[in-house]
Amino acid sequence: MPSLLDSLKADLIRALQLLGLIRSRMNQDKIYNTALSLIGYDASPRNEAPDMYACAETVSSIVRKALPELRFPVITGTSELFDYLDRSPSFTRVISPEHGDIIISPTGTGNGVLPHGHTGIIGNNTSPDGSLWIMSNDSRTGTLEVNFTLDSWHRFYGTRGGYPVFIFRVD
Amino acid sequence: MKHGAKRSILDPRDYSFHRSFGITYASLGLKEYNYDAGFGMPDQTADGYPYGCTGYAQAEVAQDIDKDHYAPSYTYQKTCAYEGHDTTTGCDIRTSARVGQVYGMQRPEETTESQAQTHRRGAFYNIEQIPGLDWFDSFRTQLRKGSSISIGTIWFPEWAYTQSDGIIPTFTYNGNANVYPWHNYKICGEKTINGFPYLIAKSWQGRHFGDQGWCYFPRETFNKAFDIYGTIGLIQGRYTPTDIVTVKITMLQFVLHYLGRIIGLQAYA
Repeated sequence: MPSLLDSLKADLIRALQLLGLIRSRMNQDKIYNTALSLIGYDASPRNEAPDMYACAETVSSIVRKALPELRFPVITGTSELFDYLDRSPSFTRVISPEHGDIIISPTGTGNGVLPHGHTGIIGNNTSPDGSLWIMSNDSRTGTLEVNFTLDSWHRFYGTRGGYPVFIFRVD
Repeated sequence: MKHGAKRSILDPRDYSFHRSFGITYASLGLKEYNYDAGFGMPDQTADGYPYGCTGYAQAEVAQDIDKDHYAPSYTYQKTCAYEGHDTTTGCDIRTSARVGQVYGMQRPEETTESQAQTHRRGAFYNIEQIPGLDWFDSFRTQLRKGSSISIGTIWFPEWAYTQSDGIIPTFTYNGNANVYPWHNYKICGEKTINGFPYLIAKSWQGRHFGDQGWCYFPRETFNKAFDIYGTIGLIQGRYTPTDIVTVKITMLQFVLHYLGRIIGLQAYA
Protein backbone atom coordinates (compact mmCIF):
# COMPACT_ATOMS: atom_id res chain seq x y z
CA MET A 1 0.00 0.00 0.00
CA PRO A 2 1.61 3.31 -1.06
CA SER A 3 2.22 5.82 1.67
CA LEU A 4 0.74 9.31 1.62
CA LEU A 5 4.16 10.65 0.62
CA ASP A 6 4.37 8.23 -2.34
CA SER A 7 0.89 9.21 -3.41
CA LEU A 8 1.71 12.93 -3.20
CA LYS A 9 4.93 12.32 -5.11
CA ALA A 10 3.06 10.47 -7.88
CA ASP A 11 0.48 13.28 -8.09
CA LEU A 12 3.23 15.90 -8.31
CA ILE A 13 5.02 13.98 -11.08
CA ARG A 14 1.75 13.61 -12.99
CA ALA A 15 1.00 17.33 -12.62
CA LEU A 16 4.49 18.27 -13.85
CA GLN A 17 4.09 15.90 -16.80
CA LEU A 18 0.75 17.47 -17.66
CA LEU A 19 2.32 20.90 -17.54
CA GLY A 20 5.12 19.63 -19.76
CA LEU A 21 7.74 20.55 -17.15
CA ILE A 22 9.12 17.03 -17.01
CA ARG A 23 9.12 14.31 -19.60
CA SER A 24 7.43 10.96 -19.10
CA ARG A 25 9.95 8.14 -19.18
CA MET A 26 7.33 5.41 -19.10
CA ASN A 27 8.39 3.76 -22.37
CA GLN A 28 12.09 4.05 -21.49
CA ASP A 29 11.27 2.44 -18.14
CA LYS A 30 9.47 -0.41 -19.90
CA ILE A 31 12.48 -1.15 -22.13
CA TYR A 32 14.88 -0.93 -19.20
CA ASN A 33 12.76 -3.11 -16.93
CA THR A 34 12.26 -5.73 -19.63
CA ALA A 35 15.99 -5.87 -20.30
CA LEU A 36 16.68 -6.08 -16.58
CA SER A 37 14.32 -9.03 -16.23
CA LEU A 38 16.07 -10.90 -19.04
CA ILE A 39 19.64 -10.67 -17.71
CA GLY A 40 21.17 -14.14 -17.81
CA TYR A 41 18.60 -15.42 -20.30
CA ASP A 42 18.62 -15.83 -24.06
CA ALA A 43 16.53 -12.78 -24.94
CA SER A 44 16.26 -13.88 -28.57
CA PRO A 45 15.01 -17.46 -28.31
CA ARG A 46 13.75 -17.44 -31.88
CA ASN A 47 17.42 -17.63 -32.90
CA GLU A 48 16.91 -15.97 -36.24
CA ALA A 49 20.56 -14.95 -36.01
CA PRO A 50 23.30 -17.19 -34.55
CA ASP A 51 23.84 -16.47 -30.83
CA MET A 52 27.30 -15.15 -31.74
CA TYR A 53 25.77 -12.29 -33.69
CA ALA A 54 22.44 -11.96 -31.92
CA CYS A 55 22.85 -8.51 -30.37
CA ALA A 56 20.42 -6.79 -32.76
CA GLU A 57 17.91 -9.60 -32.48
CA THR A 58 18.21 -9.39 -28.69
CA VAL A 59 17.57 -5.64 -28.63
CA SER A 60 14.65 -5.89 -31.03
CA SER A 61 13.16 -8.76 -28.99
CA ILE A 62 13.40 -6.65 -25.83
CA VAL A 63 11.66 -3.70 -27.50
CA ARG A 64 8.99 -6.01 -28.92
CA LYS A 65 8.35 -7.49 -25.51
CA ALA A 66 8.38 -4.14 -23.69
CA LEU A 67 6.29 -2.19 -26.20
CA PRO A 68 4.15 -4.59 -28.26
CA GLU A 69 2.03 -1.66 -29.49
CA LEU A 70 5.04 -0.43 -31.51
CA ARG A 71 4.93 -3.61 -33.65
CA PHE A 72 8.70 -3.50 -33.72
CA PRO A 73 10.08 -6.02 -36.24
CA VAL A 74 12.67 -8.69 -35.45
CA ILE A 75 15.90 -7.28 -36.85
CA THR A 76 19.00 -9.41 -36.97
CA GLY A 77 21.70 -6.97 -38.03
CA THR A 78 23.05 -3.81 -36.38
CA SER A 79 23.14 -2.03 -39.72
CA GLU A 80 19.45 -2.75 -40.36
CA LEU A 81 18.60 -1.89 -36.77
CA PHE A 82 20.36 1.46 -37.10
CA ASP A 83 18.48 2.20 -40.34
CA TYR A 84 15.21 1.32 -38.67
CA LEU A 85 15.82 3.44 -35.57
CA ASP A 86 17.03 6.35 -37.67
CA ARG A 87 13.87 6.45 -39.78
CA SER A 88 11.28 5.47 -37.19
CA PRO A 89 9.29 8.45 -35.91
CA SER A 90 9.09 6.66 -32.56
CA PHE A 91 12.81 6.92 -31.87
CA THR A 92 14.94 10.03 -31.57
CA ARG A 93 18.70 10.24 -31.74
CA VAL A 94 20.00 11.78 -28.51
CA ILE A 95 23.36 12.88 -27.16
CA SER A 96 23.08 12.34 -23.42
CA PRO A 97 22.21 8.71 -22.61
CA GLU A 98 19.59 7.65 -20.08
CA HIS A 99 18.33 4.27 -18.90
CA GLY A 100 16.24 2.43 -21.48
CA ASP A 101 18.03 4.08 -24.42
CA ILE A 102 19.43 1.93 -27.21
CA ILE A 103 23.14 2.26 -27.90
CA ILE A 104 24.36 1.09 -31.29
CA SER A 105 27.56 0.98 -33.32
CA PRO A 106 26.41 -0.37 -36.69
CA THR A 107 28.43 -2.98 -38.58
CA GLY A 108 30.15 -1.60 -41.65
CA THR A 109 30.93 1.80 -40.20
CA GLY A 110 34.17 0.98 -38.35
CA ASN A 111 37.85 0.96 -39.35
CA GLY A 112 37.97 -2.80 -39.93
CA VAL A 113 39.78 -3.77 -36.73
CA LEU A 114 36.54 -5.13 -35.26
CA PRO A 115 34.52 -6.97 -37.91
CA HIS A 116 31.11 -6.54 -36.27
CA GLY A 117 29.30 -3.67 -34.60
CA HIS A 118 27.19 -4.08 -31.49
CA THR A 119 24.06 -2.84 -29.80
CA GLY A 120 22.63 -2.88 -26.28
CA ILE A 121 20.33 -1.26 -23.75
CA ILE A 122 21.60 1.40 -21.39
CA GLY A 123 21.11 0.69 -17.70
CA ASN A 124 20.14 2.84 -14.75
CA ASN A 125 23.07 2.29 -12.41
CA THR A 126 26.50 3.85 -12.50
CA SER A 127 29.46 1.53 -12.88
CA PRO A 128 32.80 1.87 -11.04
CA ASP A 129 34.23 3.82 -13.99
CA GLY A 130 31.57 6.49 -13.40
CA SER A 131 29.44 5.82 -16.50
CA LEU A 132 26.19 3.90 -16.88
CA TRP A 133 26.14 0.13 -17.34
CA ILE A 134 25.05 -1.39 -20.64
CA MET A 135 23.16 -4.66 -21.10
CA SER A 136 23.81 -6.51 -24.34
CA ASN A 137 23.98 -9.95 -25.87
CA ASP A 138 27.09 -11.90 -24.87
CA SER A 139 28.23 -13.65 -28.03
CA ARG A 140 29.99 -16.39 -26.04
CA THR A 141 26.87 -17.52 -24.19
CA GLY A 142 24.04 -16.09 -26.29
CA THR A 143 22.51 -14.56 -23.16
CA LEU A 144 21.82 -10.97 -22.15
CA GLU A 145 24.50 -9.75 -19.77
CA VAL A 146 25.69 -6.53 -18.17
CA ASN A 147 28.93 -6.56 -20.12
CA PHE A 148 29.78 -2.97 -21.03
CA THR A 149 29.77 0.50 -19.58
CA LEU A 150 29.38 3.63 -21.65
CA ASP A 151 33.09 4.34 -21.21
CA SER A 152 34.20 0.83 -22.11
CA TRP A 153 31.86 0.87 -25.15
CA HIS A 154 33.38 4.11 -26.37
CA ARG A 155 36.90 2.76 -25.77
CA PHE A 156 36.25 -0.60 -27.46
CA TYR A 157 33.93 0.26 -30.34
CA GLY A 158 34.63 3.97 -30.68
CA THR A 159 38.39 4.21 -30.24
CA ARG A 160 39.58 0.71 -31.11
CA GLY A 161 37.00 -0.21 -33.73
CA GLY A 162 36.55 3.27 -35.18
CA TYR A 163 32.78 2.91 -34.96
CA PRO A 164 30.45 5.84 -34.44
CA VAL A 165 28.34 5.44 -31.30
CA PHE A 166 24.66 6.32 -31.65
CA ILE A 167 22.06 6.51 -28.91
CA PHE A 168 18.33 6.32 -29.64
CA ARG A 169 15.47 7.07 -27.27
CA VAL A 170 11.91 5.88 -27.63
CA ASP A 171 9.10 8.48 -27.55
CA MET B 1 -22.76 8.78 -34.67
CA LYS B 2 -20.86 9.81 -37.79
CA HIS B 3 -21.43 8.24 -41.14
CA GLY B 4 -21.26 9.40 -44.69
CA ALA B 5 -18.29 7.66 -46.24
CA LYS B 6 -18.32 4.31 -47.95
CA ARG B 7 -15.94 1.58 -47.01
CA SER B 8 -12.98 1.79 -49.40
CA ILE B 9 -12.57 -1.46 -51.27
CA LEU B 10 -8.98 -2.10 -52.31
CA ASP B 11 -8.48 -0.69 -55.77
CA PRO B 12 -5.37 -1.93 -57.58
CA ARG B 13 -5.43 1.16 -59.75
CA ASP B 14 -4.62 3.42 -56.78
CA TYR B 15 -1.27 5.10 -56.87
CA SER B 16 0.78 4.21 -53.81
CA PHE B 17 2.68 7.18 -52.43
CA HIS B 18 5.53 5.05 -51.15
CA ARG B 19 5.81 3.00 -54.32
CA SER B 20 5.57 6.12 -56.49
CA PHE B 21 8.09 8.26 -54.66
CA GLY B 22 10.00 5.78 -52.54
CA ILE B 23 10.07 5.74 -48.77
CA THR B 24 11.76 8.91 -47.62
CA TYR B 25 11.96 10.12 -44.08
CA ALA B 26 11.70 13.74 -43.10
CA SER B 27 12.56 15.15 -39.72
CA LEU B 28 10.66 18.28 -38.79
CA GLY B 29 12.67 18.80 -35.63
CA LEU B 30 9.30 19.25 -33.93
CA LYS B 31 7.32 16.84 -31.83
CA GLU B 32 4.13 18.88 -32.05
CA TYR B 33 2.68 20.54 -35.11
CA ASN B 34 -0.69 21.07 -36.76
CA TYR B 35 -1.10 21.82 -40.47
CA ASP B 36 -4.68 23.05 -40.09
CA ALA B 37 -5.12 26.28 -42.03
CA GLY B 38 -7.34 27.72 -39.30
CA PHE B 39 -10.60 28.43 -41.13
CA GLY B 40 -12.73 27.33 -38.21
CA MET B 41 -14.15 24.16 -36.73
CA PRO B 42 -17.02 23.07 -38.99
CA ASP B 43 -19.99 20.98 -37.89
CA GLN B 44 -21.36 19.01 -40.85
CA THR B 45 -24.67 18.25 -39.14
CA ALA B 46 -25.28 21.89 -38.16
CA ASP B 47 -24.35 22.91 -41.71
CA GLY B 48 -27.11 20.64 -43.03
CA TYR B 49 -24.84 17.97 -44.52
CA PRO B 50 -24.98 15.04 -42.07
CA TYR B 51 -23.64 12.71 -44.78
CA GLY B 52 -21.18 15.19 -46.28
CA CYS B 53 -17.97 14.17 -44.52
CA THR B 54 -16.19 13.45 -47.81
CA GLY B 55 -16.73 17.04 -48.93
CA TYR B 56 -15.39 18.35 -45.64
CA ALA B 57 -12.32 16.12 -45.70
CA GLN B 58 -11.55 17.04 -49.30
CA ALA B 59 -12.02 20.77 -48.71
CA GLU B 60 -10.09 20.84 -45.44
CA VAL B 61 -7.06 18.95 -46.79
CA ALA B 62 -7.02 21.29 -49.81
CA GLN B 63 -7.27 24.29 -47.47
CA ASP B 64 -4.27 23.14 -45.48
CA ILE B 65 -2.19 22.89 -48.63
CA ASP B 66 -3.40 26.06 -50.39
CA LYS B 67 -3.99 28.15 -47.23
CA ASP B 68 -7.24 29.19 -48.87
CA HIS B 69 -10.85 28.76 -47.73
CA TYR B 70 -12.95 26.24 -49.66
CA ALA B 71 -16.62 25.31 -49.40
CA PRO B 72 -17.16 21.66 -48.40
CA SER B 73 -20.73 21.78 -49.71
CA TYR B 74 -19.54 22.38 -53.27
CA THR B 75 -17.29 19.31 -53.24
CA TYR B 76 -19.93 17.17 -51.54
CA GLN B 77 -22.69 18.14 -53.95
CA LYS B 78 -20.44 17.57 -56.95
CA THR B 79 -19.44 14.17 -55.54
CA CYS B 80 -23.09 13.20 -55.07
CA ALA B 81 -23.82 14.27 -58.65
CA TYR B 82 -20.75 12.34 -59.87
CA GLU B 83 -22.04 9.21 -58.11
CA GLY B 84 -25.59 9.83 -59.26
CA HIS B 85 -27.47 10.31 -55.98
CA ASP B 86 -28.75 13.13 -53.81
CA THR B 87 -27.34 14.44 -50.54
CA THR B 88 -29.21 11.99 -48.35
CA THR B 89 -26.43 9.48 -48.59
CA GLY B 90 -22.67 9.38 -48.26
CA CYS B 91 -20.00 9.12 -50.92
CA ASP B 92 -16.94 7.15 -51.80
CA ILE B 93 -13.71 8.80 -50.66
CA ARG B 94 -11.93 8.12 -53.95
CA THR B 95 -14.81 9.66 -55.89
CA SER B 96 -14.49 12.76 -53.75
CA ALA B 97 -10.79 12.95 -54.59
CA ARG B 98 -11.61 12.53 -58.29
CA VAL B 99 -14.16 15.33 -58.06
CA GLY B 100 -11.37 17.56 -56.78
CA GLN B 101 -9.38 16.68 -59.87
CA VAL B 102 -12.26 17.27 -62.27
CA TYR B 103 -14.22 20.17 -60.77
CA GLY B 104 -11.74 21.74 -58.38
CA MET B 105 -12.51 23.42 -55.08
CA GLN B 106 -14.75 26.44 -54.69
CA ARG B 107 -14.13 29.40 -52.40
CA PRO B 108 -17.30 30.50 -50.53
CA GLU B 109 -17.46 33.77 -52.47
CA GLU B 110 -17.03 32.10 -55.87
CA THR B 111 -20.09 31.27 -57.93
CA THR B 112 -18.98 29.72 -61.20
CA GLU B 113 -17.49 26.36 -62.03
CA SER B 114 -14.68 27.97 -63.99
CA GLN B 115 -13.58 29.75 -60.81
CA ALA B 116 -13.52 26.43 -58.97
CA GLN B 117 -11.50 24.91 -61.80
CA THR B 118 -8.61 27.20 -60.90
CA HIS B 119 -8.26 25.27 -57.61
CA ARG B 120 -8.17 21.79 -59.09
CA ARG B 121 -6.42 19.00 -57.23
CA GLY B 122 -3.74 16.73 -58.58
CA ALA B 123 -3.28 12.97 -58.51
CA PHE B 124 -4.13 11.27 -55.23
CA TYR B 125 -1.98 8.68 -53.56
CA ASN B 126 -2.78 5.91 -51.15
CA ILE B 127 -0.84 5.85 -47.88
CA GLU B 128 0.23 2.29 -47.20
CA GLN B 129 1.85 0.75 -44.18
CA ILE B 130 5.62 1.10 -44.49
CA PRO B 131 7.35 -2.27 -44.05
CA GLY B 132 8.53 -2.61 -40.46
CA LEU B 133 6.51 0.33 -39.17
CA ASP B 134 3.04 0.24 -37.67
CA TRP B 135 0.17 2.28 -39.12
CA PHE B 136 0.71 5.04 -36.58
CA ASP B 137 4.35 5.59 -37.53
CA SER B 138 3.61 5.13 -41.24
CA PHE B 139 1.18 8.04 -41.04
CA ARG B 140 3.56 10.10 -38.91
CA THR B 141 6.28 9.54 -41.51
CA GLN B 142 3.91 10.77 -44.19
CA LEU B 143 2.63 13.72 -42.16
CA ARG B 144 6.15 14.97 -41.55
CA LYS B 145 6.53 15.51 -45.28
CA GLY B 146 4.26 18.48 -44.90
CA SER B 147 0.56 17.98 -45.54
CA SER B 148 -2.64 16.73 -43.97
CA ILE B 149 -4.07 13.33 -44.88
CA SER B 150 -7.68 12.46 -45.63
CA ILE B 151 -8.56 9.20 -43.92
CA GLY B 152 -11.56 6.92 -43.92
CA THR B 153 -12.25 4.54 -41.04
CA ILE B 154 -15.16 3.14 -39.14
CA TRP B 155 -16.43 5.74 -36.66
CA PHE B 156 -17.00 3.51 -33.64
CA PRO B 157 -19.89 4.18 -31.24
CA GLU B 158 -17.40 4.50 -28.36
CA TRP B 159 -15.78 7.47 -30.09
CA ALA B 160 -18.94 9.52 -29.60
CA TYR B 161 -18.02 9.56 -25.89
CA THR B 162 -14.67 11.27 -26.45
CA GLN B 163 -14.03 13.47 -23.40
CA SER B 164 -12.93 17.09 -23.38
CA ASP B 165 -9.28 15.99 -23.37
CA GLY B 166 -9.95 14.90 -26.97
CA ILE B 167 -8.35 11.46 -26.59
CA ILE B 168 -10.20 8.93 -28.74
CA PRO B 169 -11.15 5.95 -26.56
CA THR B 170 -10.44 2.38 -27.50
CA PHE B 171 -13.23 0.32 -29.06
CA THR B 172 -14.55 -3.16 -29.54
CA TYR B 173 -14.93 -4.48 -33.06
CA ASN B 174 -17.23 -7.38 -33.88
CA GLY B 175 -15.42 -8.33 -37.09
CA ASN B 176 -18.15 -7.22 -39.49
CA ALA B 177 -17.14 -3.88 -41.00
CA ASN B 178 -20.39 -3.57 -42.90
CA VAL B 179 -22.52 -2.96 -39.82
CA TYR B 180 -20.58 0.11 -38.70
CA PRO B 181 -20.77 3.70 -39.95
CA TRP B 182 -17.73 4.88 -41.92
CA HIS B 183 -16.42 8.40 -41.67
CA ASN B 184 -14.01 10.53 -43.69
CA TYR B 185 -11.92 13.00 -41.68
CA LYS B 186 -8.41 14.35 -41.64
CA ILE B 187 -5.21 13.74 -39.74
CA CYS B 188 -3.26 16.97 -39.62
CA GLY B 189 -0.52 16.82 -37.01
CA GLU B 190 1.06 15.34 -33.93
CA LYS B 191 0.64 16.19 -30.27
CA THR B 192 2.34 14.90 -27.14
CA ILE B 193 0.08 14.19 -24.19
CA ASN B 194 1.60 12.93 -20.93
CA GLY B 195 4.78 12.13 -22.82
CA PHE B 196 3.08 9.96 -25.43
CA PRO B 197 2.58 10.83 -29.10
CA TYR B 198 -0.92 11.26 -30.56
CA LEU B 199 -2.18 12.01 -34.06
CA ILE B 200 -4.32 15.14 -34.30
CA ALA B 201 -7.63 14.60 -36.09
CA LYS B 202 -10.43 16.95 -37.12
CA SER B 203 -13.79 15.28 -37.64
CA TRP B 204 -16.35 18.04 -38.52
CA GLN B 205 -18.45 17.65 -35.40
CA GLY B 206 -18.19 21.20 -34.18
CA ARG B 207 -16.54 22.75 -31.16
CA HIS B 208 -18.58 20.72 -28.69
CA PHE B 209 -16.82 17.50 -29.68
CA GLY B 210 -13.57 16.47 -28.01
CA ASP B 211 -11.04 19.21 -27.31
CA GLN B 212 -12.83 22.18 -28.94
CA GLY B 213 -13.42 20.05 -32.02
CA TRP B 214 -10.01 18.38 -32.08
CA CYS B 215 -9.50 14.76 -31.21
CA TYR B 216 -6.31 12.81 -30.65
CA PHE B 217 -5.60 9.23 -31.66
CA PRO B 218 -3.35 7.13 -29.44
CA ARG B 219 -1.12 4.61 -31.18
CA GLU B 220 -3.00 1.47 -30.19
CA THR B 221 -6.43 2.80 -31.17
CA PHE B 222 -5.17 4.10 -34.50
CA ASN B 223 -3.40 0.83 -35.35
CA LYS B 224 -6.45 -1.20 -34.36
CA ALA B 225 -8.75 0.98 -36.46
CA PHE B 226 -6.50 0.83 -39.52
CA ASP B 227 -6.05 -2.93 -39.34
CA ILE B 228 -9.66 -3.23 -40.49
CA TYR B 229 -10.05 -3.90 -44.20
CA GLY B 230 -11.64 -0.99 -46.00
CA THR B 231 -9.78 1.85 -44.28
CA ILE B 232 -7.99 4.33 -46.47
CA GLY B 233 -5.54 7.23 -46.22
CA LEU B 234 -5.23 9.57 -49.19
CA ILE B 235 -2.88 12.42 -49.89
CA GLN B 236 -3.60 14.81 -52.73
CA GLY B 237 -1.70 17.91 -53.72
CA ARG B 238 -2.55 20.78 -56.05
CA TYR B 239 -3.02 20.20 -59.72
CA THR B 240 0.09 20.65 -61.82
CA PRO B 241 0.44 20.26 -65.59
CA THR B 242 2.48 17.10 -65.03
CA ASP B 243 -0.63 15.45 -63.56
CA ILE B 244 -1.92 14.86 -67.08
CA VAL B 245 -0.76 11.40 -68.05
CA THR B 246 -1.86 9.10 -70.81
CA VAL B 247 -2.53 5.58 -69.63
CA LYS B 248 -2.43 2.94 -72.32
CA ILE B 249 -4.12 -0.36 -71.60
CA THR B 250 -4.15 -3.38 -73.84
CA MET B 251 -7.34 -4.90 -75.17
CA LEU B 252 -6.81 -7.88 -72.82
CA GLN B 253 -6.52 -5.58 -69.79
CA PHE B 254 -9.67 -3.78 -70.88
CA VAL B 255 -11.61 -7.03 -71.22
CA LEU B 256 -10.36 -8.37 -67.87
CA HIS B 257 -11.22 -5.09 -66.17
CA TYR B 258 -14.70 -5.11 -67.72
CA LEU B 259 -15.30 -8.73 -66.67
CA GLY B 260 -14.04 -7.90 -63.17
CA ARG B 261 -16.60 -5.15 -62.87
CA ILE B 262 -19.39 -7.43 -64.07
CA ILE B 263 -18.62 -10.10 -61.48
CA GLY B 264 -18.15 -7.50 -58.75
CA LEU B 265 -14.40 -7.74 -58.17
CA GLN B 266 -14.14 -3.96 -58.41
CA ALA B 267 -16.96 -2.30 -56.58
CA TYR B 268 -16.17 1.28 -57.49
CA ALA B 269 -14.96 2.67 -60.76
